[in-house]
Amino acid sequence: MRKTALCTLTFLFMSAVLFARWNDAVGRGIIPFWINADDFYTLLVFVSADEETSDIIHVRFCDENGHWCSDTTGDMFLIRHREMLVFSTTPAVPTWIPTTANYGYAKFRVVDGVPIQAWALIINELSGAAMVVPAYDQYNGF
Amino acid sequence: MLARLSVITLALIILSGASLADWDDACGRGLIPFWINTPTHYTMIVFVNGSEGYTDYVHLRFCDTEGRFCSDATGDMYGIRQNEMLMFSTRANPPSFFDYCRHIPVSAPHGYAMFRTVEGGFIHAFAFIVNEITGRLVTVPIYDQDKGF
Repeated sequence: MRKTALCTLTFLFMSAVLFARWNDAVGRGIIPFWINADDFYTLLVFVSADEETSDIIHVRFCDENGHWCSDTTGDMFLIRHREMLVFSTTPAVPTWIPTTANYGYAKFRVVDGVPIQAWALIINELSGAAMVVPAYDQYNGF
Repeated sequence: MLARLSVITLALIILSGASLADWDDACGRGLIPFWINTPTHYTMIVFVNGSEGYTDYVHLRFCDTEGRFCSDATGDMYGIRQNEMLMFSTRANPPSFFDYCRHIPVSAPHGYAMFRTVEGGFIHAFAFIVNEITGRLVTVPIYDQDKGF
């Protein structure tokens, strides 16, 4: 009896892990533009608005065809309550996420549905100018 | 006879549907409130299909300050595949790293732009104005055209 329960529990856990895909995340968002070319690089910023609970956030960069252009196996980051995470497309600014395309869009999702605030900044290294890129809820569009 | 009638009816239905599909009855409509195309400034418009399963069509038209279309209204439809990003520019020669950017010629120096989606997919829109001299970028917000004050 105990073995059956253990097997069922393991199977359920494994299936949940296997079935937990991008589409059925609790919270999903999209950053419609990033660039890493010539004098421009992009910063992605995430803030956990929750004051008690930590969450896991997945961040991936896509090229213009929707192909992943960042490491998909290491896309998972822990964000503690009230913490801010900053990701960069340039190695000069931590935390660097290497990309294999010059520009595109980015997607993110949170595992446990903690309210994550997101935005992006495009920075011109020469002039020092920065532009805010808004993040959108991926479930809403036109 | 019955087969012929069916074919004619079907053709009529398709034709009437195509002719009735107007700007007003699109599934999703949006407005980009400002664009500019001068010797120093140009505008880029970005669409991302957030749907992971469906292709959609986006119609994009530029208007001048009087609301007249100032881009090609007959060739304004673009297929956007699942997860795809489309980029449009008012400048014929944007920087070389934008290798996938499409040029939309406009016949006015500034105005606003309208877009609509046919299937109502999750199309995310984003626009920015580029100053070629300084390299500065300015974000332009996108509004849902069905809402206003």
